[in-house]
Amino acid sequence: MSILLAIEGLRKAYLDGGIKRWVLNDTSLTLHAGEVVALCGPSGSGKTTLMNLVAGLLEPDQGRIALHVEAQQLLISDMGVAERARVRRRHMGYVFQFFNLVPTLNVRENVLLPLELNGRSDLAAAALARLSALGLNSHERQYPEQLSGGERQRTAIARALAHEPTLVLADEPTGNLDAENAHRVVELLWREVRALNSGLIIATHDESIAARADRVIRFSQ
Amino acid sequence: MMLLVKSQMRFLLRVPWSALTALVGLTLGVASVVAVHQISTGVDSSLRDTTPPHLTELSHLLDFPGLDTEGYFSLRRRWRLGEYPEISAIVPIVEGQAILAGRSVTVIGADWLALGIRSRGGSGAITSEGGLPVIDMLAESEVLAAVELGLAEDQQFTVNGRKYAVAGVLEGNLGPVLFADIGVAYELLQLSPQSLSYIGIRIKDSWFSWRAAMEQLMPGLSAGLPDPAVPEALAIDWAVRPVAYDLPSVGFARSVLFNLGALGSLALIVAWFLIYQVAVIWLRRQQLLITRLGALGVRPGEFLAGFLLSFAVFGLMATALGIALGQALSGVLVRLSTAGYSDVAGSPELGPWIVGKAAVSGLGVCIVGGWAAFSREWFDVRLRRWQVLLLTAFLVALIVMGTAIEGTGLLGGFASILALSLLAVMALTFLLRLCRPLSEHLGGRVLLRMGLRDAIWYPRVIGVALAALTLAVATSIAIGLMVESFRLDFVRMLDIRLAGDLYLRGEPREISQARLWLEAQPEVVRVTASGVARGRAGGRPVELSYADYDAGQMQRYGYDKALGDNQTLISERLSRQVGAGAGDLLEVAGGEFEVVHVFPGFGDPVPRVLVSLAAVRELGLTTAFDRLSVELRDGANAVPQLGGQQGTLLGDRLGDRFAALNVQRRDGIRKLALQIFDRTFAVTQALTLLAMAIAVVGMYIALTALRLTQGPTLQLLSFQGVTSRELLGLSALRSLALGGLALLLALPLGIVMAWVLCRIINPRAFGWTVELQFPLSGWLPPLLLGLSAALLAGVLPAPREKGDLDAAA
Repeated sequence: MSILLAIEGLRKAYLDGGIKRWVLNDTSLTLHAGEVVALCGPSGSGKTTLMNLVAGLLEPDQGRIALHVEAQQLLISDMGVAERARVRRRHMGYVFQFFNLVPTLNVRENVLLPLELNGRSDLAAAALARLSALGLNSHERQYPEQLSGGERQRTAIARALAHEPTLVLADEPTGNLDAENAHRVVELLWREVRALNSGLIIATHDESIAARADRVIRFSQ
Repeated sequence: MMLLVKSQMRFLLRVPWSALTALVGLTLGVASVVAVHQISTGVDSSLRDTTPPHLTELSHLLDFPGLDTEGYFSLRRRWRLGEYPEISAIVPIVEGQAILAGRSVTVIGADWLALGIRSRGGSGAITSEGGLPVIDMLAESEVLAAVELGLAEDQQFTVNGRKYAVAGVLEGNLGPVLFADIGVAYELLQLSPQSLSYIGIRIKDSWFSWRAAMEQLMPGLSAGLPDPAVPEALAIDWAVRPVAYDLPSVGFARSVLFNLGALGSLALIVAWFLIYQVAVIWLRRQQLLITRLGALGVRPGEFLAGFLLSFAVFGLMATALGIALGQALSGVLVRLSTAGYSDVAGSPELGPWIVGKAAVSGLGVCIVGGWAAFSREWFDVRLRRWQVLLLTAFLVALIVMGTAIEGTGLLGGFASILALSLLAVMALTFLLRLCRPLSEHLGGRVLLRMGLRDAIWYPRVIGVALAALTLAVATSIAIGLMVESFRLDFVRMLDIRLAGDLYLRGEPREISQARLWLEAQPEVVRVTASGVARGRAGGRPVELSYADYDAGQMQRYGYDKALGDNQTLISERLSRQVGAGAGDLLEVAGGEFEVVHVFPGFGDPVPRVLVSLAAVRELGLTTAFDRLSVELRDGANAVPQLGGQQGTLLGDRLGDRFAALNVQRRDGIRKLALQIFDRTFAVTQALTLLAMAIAVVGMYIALTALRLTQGPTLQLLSFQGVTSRELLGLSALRSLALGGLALLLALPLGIVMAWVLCRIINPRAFGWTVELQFPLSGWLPPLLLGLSAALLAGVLPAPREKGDLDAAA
């Protein structure tokens, strides 16, 4: 399996009441295509910070983050804000705990949002087929407020995968769902990520979900 | 309770930006009220100063052909015997021209003692070295001189070989006038002791205290109150005209003050919308706190009291700031409107009325706005469908009654405007709901769709601010159209009243000689002589203007044919009084005439008829021309400079030959009049801008609140790589969509409001029906300004949105 993401010697600190607090200290990680890595640990242990660093939403204090796309190495840690935004837009998908669907866009529009932003209408048919596979074809014209929690998260998954990203990041995607829906959503996420041969990093408190990942990285405070 | 108030005040400190913007908006609203009051006080004081002293204490002037002192004494005897209890003072007055140092000056003599003038008050109208002495009575051989004469106090001058002394100098645009005791005036004018020009009377005003209170409340508001009624018996024997006829600028200024007052109130209404919006937002942000307090047993009334008390503190701060800002603003606005030609006092001292008005405005807006928001948020007060229909029907009925039934007066007119505004606000909510399903079918780029839908989908968050913007733009359009229409009418009025290039007034004998001389001058194309007689038409006392009214003359009055001998044109005021219009027969001075046209009165308080010279003679009335209108050669008219030069030259020659004539150049008067008009309405435009600024603050607050509800969307967009530039575009688009919606309603609303102002309120208040026009300059600038304002309000939070993007990361 080819390497998708390589993180080396990553360090990140926040100022807390004037005191520098290290959240990540010399963290390294490698992710391969089709691999699922679960990040486990208590709140504030650095899971979300790691994901935001990978997404390029934060800049590391030290270390190297490289995304390998189509035989190209994109050195996210060395990029400027605009370039990182471009990489994120094209090559990454994100699933949020609270779904973060756009309330003024219907299910179909929410799913096609990344494609429209990337100008990739060629992927629309596949994205809608995935939406159908996720059991939402009858909800295409509905708006987020008309959906249940599980339906919203499935829509969010369809959106995160619509532009067939190299890397999918999921931050507590089941944190706001009941056990049954959580199980179903994770099942679907796994299946679709593997179908695209993408990599998935999932942050979770749920040990049963972590147990299903290819690898588990545990964080401590 | 104190804990609740403390909690609310701490909340305000935790949202400093929101509190500050709301404070700015409310302060602007209070400042607008303060500035309008102060400007009005200054203008009012200035008007008093520009009123000739012999007219300040009078309400009407009486006259009849061949009036002499016997007529005056006869009237006074009957009055003293109790025949006219409505009259509180009677004054004999003489007026004429005298030559002072080779210059024609007007001399006005009145019985000062009878008039009861003690001082003119105001801002030092009667001055002296040191500004101390106040003149109670003029001694023998003493006169008051208008400042235009260039005479100094105590200066002596000689007329007809007799010496006179200047007891005081009158400031204000009174013209070259000397005021004297009636005995001195007889000497100056070399009149016989029996001569008398007219009689002044003062009629008791039963509405006096109401009028004063209403004027303090809102300048010009008392315009709709009935004028003091002239005793019927008096009107039979005498030609009675209100003093206002001799003071046309006062009527115009009152009209302007009236509009300013309305505009000042508009800014306050917009501020109310803003406070309501802010209160709703703050309550929503405290939802968790409210729930917790509820769980602890705090009753809604207790929370409301704490909430309102914190708002009251907020209102007091805005009041104090608004008074200071309004005081400064009034100075700036007065300078803007009167620079160079008037001595209007910019910032009169703060009196109890203005402090009270500011406090009631600031506190009232906060308390009522906070209470309304609390009712909506806590009790979720919503109108049911039948209630909405009932309210709509009520508002429509109010509009119809207020505009169609003249008897509803100014109150009806204002109620119509208020009902129209409320209907527009309701229509806005309806429009937003209507647009939502339509917006679902929008095509185009996804950020475009998001921006447009953001503008429509959150009526509870932005509806009120949008309504405020709609009202501000609509009023701006209404005022813009009204002012432009008013201006066109004003120009027409100048065309009618200032016909010709030169305008001459004087004694009939002098006028007759001047006419002959002028007709022989090469640069003169035409000389039109006219005169005025007094009589009755339709049972009402009127002024009959007579001249050789050919088609050219008639065009100035909006009638394109020569006036026949059995035809008449009547003024709008007379038309309203006697209910006659074109095609009707009207009895004029004992003869029967066909009304062929009603010409606009432009606020002229005197009912007027135009009849041909032949008709006046046939009626047996005395005809004497006392005015001439002189038209110069085409070239002279077409080229202002040349015309001006020739006019001046001709004027000089006229002055040399006919010193007693009063000669005015038309283009000079026109220019000055239009300059005054434009500068006066500059204040109006500034106040409209102020209301617009408050609306922008309201929109800004509403859009900031919208931004707070969109945290998850911003987080998503941030992850999806949406740049801050794209986000700015989204904000701009959303604002343009909101602005577009506001304008969609504001344009028709503004036009209807302008119609009500021109056709309903102005005629009811001032007897002047303004012909509504739609020049681009009247409605396009407010529209563009409104759109820019919405754009500004939308783009301003963008830097904070960028901050949110970073925070989302």
